[in-house]
Amino acid sequence: MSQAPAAALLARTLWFVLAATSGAGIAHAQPTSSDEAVQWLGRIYKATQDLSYSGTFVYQQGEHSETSRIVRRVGEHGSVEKLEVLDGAPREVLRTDDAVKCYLPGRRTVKVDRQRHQRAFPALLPEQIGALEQNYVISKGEITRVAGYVCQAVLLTPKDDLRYGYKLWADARTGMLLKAVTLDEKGKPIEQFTFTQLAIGPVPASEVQPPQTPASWHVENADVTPLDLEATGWSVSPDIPGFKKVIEVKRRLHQTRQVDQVVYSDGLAAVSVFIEPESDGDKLQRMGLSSMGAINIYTRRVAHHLVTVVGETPARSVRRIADTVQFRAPK
Amino acid sequence: MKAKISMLMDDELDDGELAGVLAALSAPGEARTAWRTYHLIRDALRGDGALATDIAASTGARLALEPTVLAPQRERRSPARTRWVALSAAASVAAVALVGWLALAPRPGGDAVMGGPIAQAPQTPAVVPVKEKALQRVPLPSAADDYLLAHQGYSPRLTLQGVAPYIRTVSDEAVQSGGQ
Repeated sequence: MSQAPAAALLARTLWFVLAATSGAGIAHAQPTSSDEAVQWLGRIYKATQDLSYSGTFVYQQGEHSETSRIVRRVGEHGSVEKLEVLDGAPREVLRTDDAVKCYLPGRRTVKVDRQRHQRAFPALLPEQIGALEQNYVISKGEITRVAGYVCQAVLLTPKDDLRYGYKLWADARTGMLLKAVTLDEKGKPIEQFTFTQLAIGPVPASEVQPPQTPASWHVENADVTPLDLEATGWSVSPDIPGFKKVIEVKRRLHQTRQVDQVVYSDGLAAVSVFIEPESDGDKLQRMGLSSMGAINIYTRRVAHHLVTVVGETPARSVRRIADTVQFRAPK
Repeated sequence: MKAKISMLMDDELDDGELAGVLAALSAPGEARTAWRTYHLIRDALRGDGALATDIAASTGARLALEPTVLAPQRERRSPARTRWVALSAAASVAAVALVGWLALAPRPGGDAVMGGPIAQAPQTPAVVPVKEKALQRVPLPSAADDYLLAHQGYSPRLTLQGVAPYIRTVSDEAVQSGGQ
């Protein structure tokens, strides 16, 4: 009969171990953000909007890494960015001020994400950078070189375990972001973007031309339109500090299906909730959590609908948001 | 039914299925026993201290009789598992209870957890950097790229990093399978 106390003891020990591990990230949080570090974030923001550049970066996630070429050209009519994957199957992404197009030659498909009714891509505005301090401690790190540039490191340490931490390296001269690492609650890197070569300065228009696509390619238009989710009977009520609703839209996904999308963000990380009627094909879809780098995806069924929550946050936040999705037939 | 009870405890049961489960629980029987057992396990793990000696023993014995409690371990290949194993030597009953708890972890898909034969095991283990206990690990949805593309446009990361994060949405097949 000595097994029962042992069981309870072990249970407590385990509970303690779990609690201690999950809390480790918060325990050593620095007290306050430094104004200088916040200003550095502002400089990175400004450089991202203002600069033209071309370079090569490596995206790394777990064991996997992929090299891409990236070009950004700021012209009289706005900016154009082009991302070209150099490893594996060729793929390209072209981003202008109002649309994103993904060219997938393997599938002879172009995916187009364009929004007519509202500002296409809600940006992190300079005045919102200060608001990040509510959820992150922003501090300066070391000065080091990345791809030949002398960089200032900036750390964003989360104040809870509901979001990831970040370490950013910015060119000391221009503010251009040379390296970005996403860190889990233990401070372990889970995803990384690093420039290996970069030239800052004017870029010829020929560098950002869209690829030639034969007429036989499929064009998948997202057809994004505004949405009032609540009026449809659905509700999402995330109780994650700092996460506010950014946008609600209806869009076409997987070529044919209408999907509702609601996006929440704390100013740095974003989480999307997708709600769509369940089809026969979805019966095979397994419910639960899947991950890719810093992205977590949690799927569950609610009232014969498929709810898919996608976010660059820890699994617990993605799931917590998914769990609040409810349907009540509108009266 | 047991899978549904487990889902109910985790508030993951569809409204449509709720009535059936509640009806089964309203009368004494297997369902109600399972309901009680699962709560005991949960309490034990939380160290609530409500665990009476004889109940713990009977819970352990009950779980030991479950033929398939080991099946879900195919999903758990995190260092956390090593920890379980290392500690399990301490108490056999507790070890059984823990494994049972893993087996009873939320199965939102409603898989026949308890009835699933161990032979299901051959599944590509995922390479996932983030570990989250008690969450059912599944392969990426087939439309993961579509969701990511739709999501990415709203991420404030873009304003700090330009188009680079879109690399995630056009990942190679290799990345896809790596995340499974």
